[in-house]
Amino acid sequence: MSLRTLPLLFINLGGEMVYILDQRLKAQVIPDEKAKKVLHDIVSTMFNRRFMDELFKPQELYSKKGLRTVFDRLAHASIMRLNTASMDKLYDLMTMAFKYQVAMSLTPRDVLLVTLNHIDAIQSFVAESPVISGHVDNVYQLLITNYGKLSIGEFQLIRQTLLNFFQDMHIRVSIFLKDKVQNSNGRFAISTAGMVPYGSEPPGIIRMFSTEGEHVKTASFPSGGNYTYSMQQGSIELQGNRCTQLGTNMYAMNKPFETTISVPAPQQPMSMAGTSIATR
Amino acid sequence: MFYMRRHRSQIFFNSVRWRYVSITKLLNFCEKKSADFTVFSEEKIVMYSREKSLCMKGSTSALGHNLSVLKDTEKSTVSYGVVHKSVANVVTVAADGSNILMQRQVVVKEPTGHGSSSTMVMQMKYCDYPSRSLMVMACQRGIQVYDADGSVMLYWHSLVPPSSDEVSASFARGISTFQDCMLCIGTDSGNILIFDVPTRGANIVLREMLKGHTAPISCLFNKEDLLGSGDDSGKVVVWQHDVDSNSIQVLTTIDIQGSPCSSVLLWEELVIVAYASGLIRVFNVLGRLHAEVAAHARWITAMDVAPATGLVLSVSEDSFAKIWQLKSEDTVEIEHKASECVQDVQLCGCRFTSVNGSSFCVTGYDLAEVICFAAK
Repeated sequence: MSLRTLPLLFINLGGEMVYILDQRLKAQVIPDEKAKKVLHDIVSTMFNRRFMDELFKPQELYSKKGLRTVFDRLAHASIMRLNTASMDKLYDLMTMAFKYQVAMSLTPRDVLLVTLNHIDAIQSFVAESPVISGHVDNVYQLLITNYGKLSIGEFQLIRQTLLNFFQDMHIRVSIFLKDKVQNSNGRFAISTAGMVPYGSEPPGIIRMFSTEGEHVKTASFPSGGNYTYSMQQGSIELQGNRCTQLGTNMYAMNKPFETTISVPAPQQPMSMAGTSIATR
Repeated sequence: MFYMRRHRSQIFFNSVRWRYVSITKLLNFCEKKSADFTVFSEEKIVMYSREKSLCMKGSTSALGHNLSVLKDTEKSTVSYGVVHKSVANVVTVAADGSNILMQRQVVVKEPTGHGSSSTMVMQMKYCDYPSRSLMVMACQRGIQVYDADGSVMLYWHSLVPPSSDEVSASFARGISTFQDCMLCIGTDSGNILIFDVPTRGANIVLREMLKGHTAPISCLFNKEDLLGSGDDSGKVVVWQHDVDSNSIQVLTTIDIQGSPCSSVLLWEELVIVAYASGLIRVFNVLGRLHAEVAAHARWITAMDVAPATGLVLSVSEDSFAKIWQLKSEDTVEIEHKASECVQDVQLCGCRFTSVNGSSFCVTGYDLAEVICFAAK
């Protein structure tokens, strides 16, 4: 499939990881200094220049195990310590969140906008450190250079590669269940109402043309849903309006309740609050 | 009729002046020849009901045209094939749908072992010839052809030059038979590979490469001596095979840029094209646009046609399967007949399972079943 998928996979999963760790650090009332150090260390390891240069080379995706190992190492690149169970839960949450963002993207190009939303948020977490902020800017430039001019077809290939990487993962996430974006069987809800992609037309119209090419007749049919036009196209500028909520910090918008996940087997939902993040 | 109405309205004129004004406004509206608005009545809508699903050994990957169906009239069986990453999951059932006769997973591996473990399948299609059937896999970096039940690999064609060291981004996508003796497969370069298929044996030979596209091919469709091809830029080419000279030439190019062409069908004198934007356009084989339908709210991932009746089936990531009726007698028309929503499923494959279009089946991303519908 697409050989340009790995950077997007890594950056978005890393972004979700930062969101979740930030929420857990706040929930466990870890002192500000330590919490900041944890996030700064993780972001600076994640966006290390040499690693990013390697990442952006055309290559196949890592295997699921390989990717998990990368994030294990990343999570422990700071003074934070996670036991295996906590790491498992963290990884499951990260992957389900990104799977949701990719699946629900209005158009394939939105995968880039989702990535930029993550980059924007990470920038705000490390704004105090000019060095790390510089790393994040570098990654933004790499993204624009490599993905800014890709065609819709290439983005769809990237999106399909990502979806197939996440195939068969149906872990139930309580924040999704609560917002009714995920069903109790672990599948995401697809709405038949809402916006169509920018530049597309809501279904329901048939136009007929004459031999001279003139539009002569219009007919309508029930579209089966309730769709509206998209008014604005998401921007990839540095400070642009991404026009999508996908990829923004969904934990920040909620009150501090547990980020729990549950496995579709008759078990009680597991809570990350019970297992704690320790810092040296 | 027009003059009579005017006369009538003038009789009313003295008694109800405001009504005269509104009647002439109505007459002016009727006079407009363009944008005449009609709404199709409910009676013309056909209802399909959901039948028992067919369970597959693995879930469906997010790809275009991810369902192929083969009917073997001799053995009275129907085979279904769905791609799961680097595997084609195949199920063969008795024609009356009662028993599952065979289930197999055809695992596609790269014969030279190019460093990576397995190769992703972009599309799998059963190709039906007069004397044999084949299972064709369009993959990353190459093409593999198996016999119809997937048990033996007959032929492998690599898209990567043998001297190349780097990981290749090339892939094959778009599969079709052609004139009952050839096999056509599209590639990411835009070239279409044409192979000669013998009536027996594995001696499949590459005969030529059609160069009409520069963007990756997304779909191919054959009807008699015509081959339709669509690519990611939105361009569609109709090729014609001339039996006497045994050459394939471009008949028509339909180059509407902007939205990838995701599926192409040929029926009677028409070319039906589905786009990533959710639009379906109906052209004639010479490229004249007859109709345009804002059909789906998301990428249209597959289409099929029932040649006997002119019914067209389209499925999309918006979770809808929609049925359309084509008419090509005096004027060319397309009419909406039915919409079936498969709740919460992004559909990625579809096939009519009866010649007249009274039954069809679909597949959806992450779902390990083939969902079947039949008209009530």
